[in-house]
Amino acid sequence: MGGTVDLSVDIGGMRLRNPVMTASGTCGYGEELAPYMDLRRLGAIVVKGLSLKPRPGNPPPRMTEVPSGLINSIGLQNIGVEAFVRDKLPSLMDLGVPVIANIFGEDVEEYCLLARRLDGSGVAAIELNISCPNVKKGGMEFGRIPEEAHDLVREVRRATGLPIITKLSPNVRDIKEMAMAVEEAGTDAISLINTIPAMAIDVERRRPRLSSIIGGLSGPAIRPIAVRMVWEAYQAVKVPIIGVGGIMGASDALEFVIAGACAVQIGTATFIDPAVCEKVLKGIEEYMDRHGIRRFVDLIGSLEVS
Amino acid sequence: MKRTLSKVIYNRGISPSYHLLGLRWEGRIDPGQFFMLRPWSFDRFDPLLNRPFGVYRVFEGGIEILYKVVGRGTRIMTGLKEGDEVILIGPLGRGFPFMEGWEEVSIVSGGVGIAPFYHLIQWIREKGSFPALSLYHGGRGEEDLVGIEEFERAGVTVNIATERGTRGYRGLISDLFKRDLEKGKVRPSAVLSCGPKGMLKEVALICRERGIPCYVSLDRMMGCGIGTCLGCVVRTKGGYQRVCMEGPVFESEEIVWEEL
Ligand SMILES: Cc1cc2nc3c(=O)[nH]c(=O)nc-3n(C[C@H](O)[C@H](O)[C@H](O)COP(=O)(O)OP(=O)(O)OC[C@H]3O[C@@H](n4cnc5c(N)ncnc54)[C@H](O)[C@@H]3O)c2cc1C
Ligand SMILES: Cc1cc2nc3c(=O)[nH]c(=O)nc-3n(C[C@H](O)[C@H](O)[C@H](O)COP(=O)(O)O)c2cc1C
Repeated sequence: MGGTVDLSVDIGGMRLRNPVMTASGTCGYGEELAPYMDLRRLGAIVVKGLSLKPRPGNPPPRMTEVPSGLINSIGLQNIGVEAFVRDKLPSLMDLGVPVIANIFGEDVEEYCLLARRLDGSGVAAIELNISCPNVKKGGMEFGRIPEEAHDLVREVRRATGLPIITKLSPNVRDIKEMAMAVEEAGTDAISLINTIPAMAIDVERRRPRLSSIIGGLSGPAIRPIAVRMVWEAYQAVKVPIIGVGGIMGASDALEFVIAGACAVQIGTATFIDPAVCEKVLKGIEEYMDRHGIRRFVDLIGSLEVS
Repeated sequence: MKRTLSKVIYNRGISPSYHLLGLRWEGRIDPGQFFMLRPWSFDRFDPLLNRPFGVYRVFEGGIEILYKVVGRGTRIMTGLKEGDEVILIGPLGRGFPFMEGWEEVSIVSGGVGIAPFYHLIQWIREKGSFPALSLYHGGRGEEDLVGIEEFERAGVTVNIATERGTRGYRGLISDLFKRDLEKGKVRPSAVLSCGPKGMLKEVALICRERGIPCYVSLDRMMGCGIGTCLGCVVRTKGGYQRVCMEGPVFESEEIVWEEL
């Protein structure tokens, strides 16, 4: 088993050995997971969101559990792009697995500076987290308005030669419209979905469970929404789609692939089992063996609708 | 690898809300370190997250967890049976320090906060160290006084406070500890503490006023336990730190108590 199937995929000029990646913000800078799994087994490693300057993140409490999900408001705590390139990237690159840098800024210029800084650093691609408030434009998220997302991607496209993956927010009127806007602006791929805005209340104390009141929902609770959005985006665009949201096992990952994703990212499940990516990969291989499918790419978008 | 599928050896109640869980495990554990445990199967997603637990006792081929039923997860845990498989990740974090020069150590615990200290004492004895040890343990009433005899048998001077006054001093354990310090009944080189937030704050303050080094084990809800999610941070003088990696034991002077 294993050697008999071809799991490789191409994403925006990147060749991945297999379609299973970590999701940003759930594997730290990679090193935290090293004691639990062989990181070289991953298709790619997507690191915690990076900003120009280090950010302390939100005050606690930052996380709360809800049925089949988790609401977080970490506040994008990170060490900043310089420290990442200097202290974390070299050992990550030694693994021989493509490293994808997830980035976010408060305005278009910050995104461009980040992209330029990472060009030539050794990362294989950048993933744009556009679910961030555009401070210059009154705090509305880039990810909510197709025109803003379009302009952002177009500028980042000019700033870097690296493959660009644009990570879409589910918090939009129409995901197809968003996907088409960023495709037209020149993104090489899209990933979806980021977390869904959510809230939980401690009724005894009549207080919000999170210091920031509202946070982002992840985990199995959001999977059907994410699968639907991948399916819709797949109808609308030609660029490769990376499916994210509530994947706990191989059959969940396969749902995304059959709906049209050419790769998957695994987030919250890593908290429960830090070796889950290996399990998902093994499960996909077993599925392919069982169904006599030799090439993983043949599964992409293979949904039968009669 | 620090992630294993472990097997339940036993799981039994020792009082209405306290239970002991024996799990297969082999390896070295520093006192005060913890494990992330999934007391239900991987494909049950409600409750979603694994739960952190300290180690009460280490024995040949296994560990014992002393746990208190406080919510859904710990209630489900009481249903574990001999032979059940559980995901066990650890040992994790940084535990209690122990320095050779310490001649006298006081432990202050509240409720299930007593859990990490029996292992600590086991460990100190195995190292061949014999500092004077005193335990100050408090609870609401009799129900929170589990395992006390084992500490006495291990040669620890045990002092008890109960809020309802059913045994020992009537009131808070931190008050009893403070009184004994004032009387000179104990002169600890260091204080180690684990329990409810209010108690920890009080103990930290008492130690600060007297210049006694104090180490506290903090309880935070944890997403992953392995440093990736950044969900369990506390504010320290050096900024936010992860309870699961830089803790759970911190020097009390490092903590920004007003924000805990
Ligand atoms: C490093 C570390 C070590 C720990 N070691 C132990 C241990 O050895 N033994 C043990 O019993 N527990 C220990 N805990 C606490 C334990 O993790 C929690 O009690 C457990 O996660 C609660 O899960 P639950 O699903 O039952 O409660 P939840 O459903 O998550 O919470 C239910 C309710 O109980 C409250 N609650 C949560 N934790 C506590 C608590 N500790 N005390 C009182 N109320 C609480 C919550 O605020 C909530 O209102 C440790 C925690 C940490 C961080
Ligand atoms: C604790 C936590 C931190 C996250 N941090 C980031 C981040 O820095 N950048 C980003 O684009 N997405 C971040 N995400 C979103 C995830 O990458 C992913 O899109 C989302 O959690 C859905 O996938 P999941 O259900 O598998 O977790 C974070 C999610 C969680 C739970």
